[in-house]
Amino acid sequence: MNCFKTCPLLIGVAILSITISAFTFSFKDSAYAEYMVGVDPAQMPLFVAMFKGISDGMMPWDAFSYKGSSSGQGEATGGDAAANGDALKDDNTQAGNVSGNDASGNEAEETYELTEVTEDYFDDALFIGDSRTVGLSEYCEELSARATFYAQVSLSIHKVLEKDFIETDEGKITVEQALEDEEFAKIYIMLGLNEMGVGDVDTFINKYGEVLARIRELQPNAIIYIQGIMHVSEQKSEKDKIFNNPSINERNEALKQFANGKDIFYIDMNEAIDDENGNLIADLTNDGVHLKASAYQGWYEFLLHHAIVKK
Amino acid sequence: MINFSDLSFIFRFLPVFLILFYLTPITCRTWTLLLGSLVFYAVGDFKMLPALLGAVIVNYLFARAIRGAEKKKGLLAFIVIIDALMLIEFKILGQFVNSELLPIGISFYTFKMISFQADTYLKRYDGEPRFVDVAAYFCMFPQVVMGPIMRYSDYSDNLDIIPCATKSTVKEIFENIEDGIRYFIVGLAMKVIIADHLAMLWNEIDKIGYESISTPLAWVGAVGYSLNLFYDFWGYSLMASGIAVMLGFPFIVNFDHPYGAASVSEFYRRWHATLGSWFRDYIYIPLGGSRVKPIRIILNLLVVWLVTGFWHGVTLNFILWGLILFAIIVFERFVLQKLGIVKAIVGRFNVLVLIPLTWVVFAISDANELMLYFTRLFPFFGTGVAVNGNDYIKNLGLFGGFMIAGLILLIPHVFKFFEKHRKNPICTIILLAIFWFSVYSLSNSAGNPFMYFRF
Repeated sequence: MNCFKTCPLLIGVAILSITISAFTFSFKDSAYAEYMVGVDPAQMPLFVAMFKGISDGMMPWDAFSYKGSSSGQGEATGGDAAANGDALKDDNTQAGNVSGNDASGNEAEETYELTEVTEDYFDDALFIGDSRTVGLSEYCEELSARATFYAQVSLSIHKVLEKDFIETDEGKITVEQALEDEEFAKIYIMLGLNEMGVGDVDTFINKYGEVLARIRELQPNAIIYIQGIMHVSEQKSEKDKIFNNPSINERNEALKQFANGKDIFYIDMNEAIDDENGNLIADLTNDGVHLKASAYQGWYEFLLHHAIVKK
Repeated sequence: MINFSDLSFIFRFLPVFLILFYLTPITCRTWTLLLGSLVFYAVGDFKMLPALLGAVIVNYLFARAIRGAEKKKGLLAFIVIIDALMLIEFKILGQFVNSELLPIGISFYTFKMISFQADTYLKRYDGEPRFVDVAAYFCMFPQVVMGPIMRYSDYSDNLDIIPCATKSTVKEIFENIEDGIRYFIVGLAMKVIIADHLAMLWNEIDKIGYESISTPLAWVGAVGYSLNLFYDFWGYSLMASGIAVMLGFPFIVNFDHPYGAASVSEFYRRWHATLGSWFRDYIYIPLGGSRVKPIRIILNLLVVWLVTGFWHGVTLNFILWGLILFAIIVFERFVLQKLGIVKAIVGRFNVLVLIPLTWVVFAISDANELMLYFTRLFPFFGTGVAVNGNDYIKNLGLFGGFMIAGLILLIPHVFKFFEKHRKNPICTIILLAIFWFSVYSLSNSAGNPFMYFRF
C-alpha cells in the first residue's frame, strides 16, 4: 500500500501537525512565550500559540530573529510608561488633588465647573474610543454630524496611538499622525474595557498616562475629557470573571487621578445609564456590554450637561 | 471536546480513538466504540450520563422482549410512550427549571431509540443484536449530540464492527479514513468559516436592538441567519458523517441541497433528512400517510408539524414556526398543485423567501421582539427608533464575503462538483489548505472566548 496515494490528506494533516507543533515547542520559551498564556497543552495543540502569533503579525520566520518582547502590552514598556505617567501624576499630587475635577488646585489658575452646553459645543470635539464610542458615532446623529470620531472596535489604550485605522484620502493613518495634522478643542477618551483581559490596573494606568502625555504634547490647547469606562449589565457582571463592574470601578477610580481640574477632566457617564446598584440598566442593552441603538441618546444628554467652558 | 469543531476533539480525542479502534481486534471493536462514546459523552455532560445509560438499558430489554413476545403491539406502544415521555419531561425541565437538566443530545438519541423499537417490531433488521451492539448504536459519539438519526440497519451494515463479517484490508481502512477526513474538512470549514462568522452578524443585530435596525439590515439579517443555521447544521452533519465513514459506516446524507428544492415540502425532504424521514416513517405513515381522505391528510400533517415544532424547542415560537410550515405545505399540496406554471414560481418563492422568514420565527423566542423584527422587515406597520439608515452597508462590509460564500454553496452543483472530484490531487491540496485555515481561525478563538466578542 502506498500511503501517499491512499491517504494523502491524512499524511498531510499528520506531518504538518507534528512539524508545526515541534516548531512551536522549540520557541515556546522565547518567541511564543507571550502567546502560550492560556494554551494548556492538555487541552489544545501547542501550535495554537504559533497561530495566535501569526494573527498578531508575528510570522513563523520572525521566530528565528526574535530578541525579547517588543510588544506594546505588558511590562516591556512599563518603564517608559511609568515615567510618563508619573510626570502627569506629579503634576497632580503637587496640586494636592487626587480626587478628580473639583480640584481647587493650581493657585494662580482658574478652576472650572461642569456645566450645560449647546450642541455646537461639539463642532471642534474629538472622540476616541472602542466599540462603544463607535456605537455613539453610529446612533447619535446630533453628535456624529458635528464631532470627529477616532473609534474602532477592540481598540485598546495599548494600541490607540500607533494603530493605523483612520481613513483619509491618502490612506490609513494613526491617531498620533492625525493629531499632528488637525487641532481639536476638546478630546473625549473612553478606553479600558478591552484591556481588562491583559495586564493589571497598573499596566493600564501607566499606559494611559503615557497616552495622555503624548496627546497633551500634540494638542496643547485641548480640553481632555477622560470618560470613566461604561459599566456592564448586572447579569454580565455577575457571571464574567473579567468584564465585571467591580473591576471597571477599580480602573475608573484609578483614572480619576489624571484629572487636574484645569485642562484634564474626569467625567463618568455611568450615572446616566446605571440602575440603583451601579450596573448598566438591563433595558438599555441586549448583550450586556453595549448600549442598544436607542440608548445612546442618554450618553449624549449626559455630555451636553457635563461640559467645561473656558472663559 | 463535545463539539467536533473543538481543537481538543480534532487533535486529541479523534486520532487517539481511531488508533485504539482499529488496534482493537475486530470481535471487540464494538466495545471500543461504546466505551469511547461514553467517555466522549461524560466529558460533555457527566451529570446526565445516567439518563442516557438508563434509557439504553431499558430500550435494549424492551427490544428483546418485543422480539420474543406474542403480543408485540402493546409492548411497542408502552416503550415508545416511555421514550416520548422521557423526552418531553426533560425538555420541559430544561426549559422551565434549569437548562442544565436537559441532557445533551436527548432529542436525537430518544428518536433513535423509538425508531429502533419500531424497526424491531417491523423486523426491519436481521438477527438478534447483542447488548453492546444496541448500546454502541444509541451512544456512538459521531451522532449522540446532534444526529444524524441513523437507522439500525445502516449501523449493522458496518463490516468493520460486526464480528461475523469479512474483515476489511488495511488499505480499505485507510481509504475509509481518508474519505471521512474529506467530508470532515468540508464540514469543519462550513461551520468555522461561514457559520461562526455569520453568527456574529446575528449578534450584531441583537446588540443594536431590533427596534433600531433599518429594513435592509433586517433582510440581510434574515438571510444571514438562514445561512448561519444551514452551514452550522450541514457542516456539523458532514463532520458527523465523515467521522462515521472513518469508522466504516455508510455515509449518511442529512442535507441534500434543500435550497435547490422547488417547494417547501421538498425542502423538508432535503433539510435534516434523517429527521424528516423519521417523522415520515414513524408518525405520518402510521397515521395513514397520504392514503386517506384529504381532511385526514391535513390532520396528519398538522400532527407532524406540531410535533416537529415541539421537538425543536418548547417555547411558543417553535410551535408557531411548525404551524406556519404546516400552513404552507397544506397550501402547496391542495391549492398550488393544481396550478401548473404558477406552481413552479410560487414554489421557488416559498423556498427562497418564505423559508428565511420562517427562520426568523425560529430564531426569536420572545413574542414582542419577534413582532418588532417583522415590523422592521415590513416597515408599513411602524417606524423604528434611532435607526441608522446605513447600518446594512457597514454589516455587508463586515459579513458580505461570508454571505457570498454561503450563497454560492447553496447552488447544488458546487458541492456535487466537489464530491465528484474529491479524490483529485488538486482537491486534496485545497482541502488541506482550508483545513489549516479553519484550524487557524479556531486557534485564535481557542482559550480566548472573546474573539467573537471584542468590544
